Amino acid sequence: MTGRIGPFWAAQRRFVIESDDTEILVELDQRLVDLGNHPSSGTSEPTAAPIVFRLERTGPRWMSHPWALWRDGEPCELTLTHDYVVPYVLWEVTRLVLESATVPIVPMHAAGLVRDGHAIALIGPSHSGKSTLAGWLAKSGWGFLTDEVSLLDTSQWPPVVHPFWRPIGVRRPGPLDAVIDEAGAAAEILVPASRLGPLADPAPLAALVCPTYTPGADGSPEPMSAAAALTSIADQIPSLGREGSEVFRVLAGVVDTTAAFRMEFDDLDVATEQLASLVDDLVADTAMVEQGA
Amino acid sequence: MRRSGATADLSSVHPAPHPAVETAFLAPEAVLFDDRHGEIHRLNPSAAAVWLLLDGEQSIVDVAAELSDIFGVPEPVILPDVETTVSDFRRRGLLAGADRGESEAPADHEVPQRIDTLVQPPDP
Repeated sequence: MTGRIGPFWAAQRRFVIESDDTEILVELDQRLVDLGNHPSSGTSEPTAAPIVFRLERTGPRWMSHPWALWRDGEPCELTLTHDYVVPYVLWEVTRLVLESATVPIVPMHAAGLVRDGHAIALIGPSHSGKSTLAGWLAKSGWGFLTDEVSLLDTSQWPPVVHPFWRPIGVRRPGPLDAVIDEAGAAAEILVPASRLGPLADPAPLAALVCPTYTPGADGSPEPMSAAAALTSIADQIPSLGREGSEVFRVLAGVVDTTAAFRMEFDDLDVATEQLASLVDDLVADTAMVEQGA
Repeated sequence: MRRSGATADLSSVHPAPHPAVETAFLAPEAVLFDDRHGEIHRLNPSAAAVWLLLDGEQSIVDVAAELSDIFGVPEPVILPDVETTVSDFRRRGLLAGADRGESEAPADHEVPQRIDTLVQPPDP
């Protein structure tokens, strides 16, 4: 008998997952639990029919690649291993978000965290440490927007970062192991952010930060020029290749009006303190400017 | 003032940005986006100053003269640098009528053309 979980939300796109396999549905339901919350963004909930992902075990358990995934009846991938199924479904969900984001919404390959109502975007390539840092900040009380794709609404100033509450990809062994306390041999597990800390609502962008895990570094944020920031973040904007100059102009406006920093970090607690001070100082500076105006 | 032959040639060159190249002037630097190739070029302050004066009307000599006035550097000193900088722009295919050769691709960054080059599906 076919079971169904959901609806979930990939930003404003609603989706459900169907399968004959109860076990995989239970696991997906646990991993994607945070996506069951509608991201409050001021826009109305979609009325269109949800996108339907269908997972089927197309072969016996002894087969190496027994799983197949369809999206609205179209095949996505027909030869998936058991260990790869959940990460692959998450990738397809992420693709939904990236596909649907067009100017003035700019998706950034960045983690988004919130302190006292102000967001920072941690921008960087894979393996730069941003997911680990995002998880650590969440466990330290920062609101969690995303560890992978920040949705920047540039129709407002300051730009607003919208959530995409996908589970955090936690590599193991790593510093979050003790916090997560989940058995298993997988080198990377998907952990709902709500297990670590609070989910955050959309928040205005206070700073762009390019973090890099560097052994021995002291975690001090170093200001970047706007040109350096634009060059760095352009590499992390999936829609720049698709939407071209329009996105470039929007990004230039963002870096011209948003503080940007480079941060090499080692100790996660120190990095957390540094980022807290950074946000507090920026917010205080903004308040002084507004009072002066 | 009499100009040398090389300088006279530079007087007849009136470079202009390629229409597909978008400029973000973020003082004192500039960042260019080449929409044809999806490439980013970051210009240092000197190169940005030259780039901003390229309008298809002014020659390379005119640009050097204007920069000489702005920065107080003698024109004969600044002209070779302007010429080199413009040559670099041309080599990168950033100027109108100067498409880049296939063997030359000195962009600082190539932006991703597909979403899954950035946010990658996990390794199977």
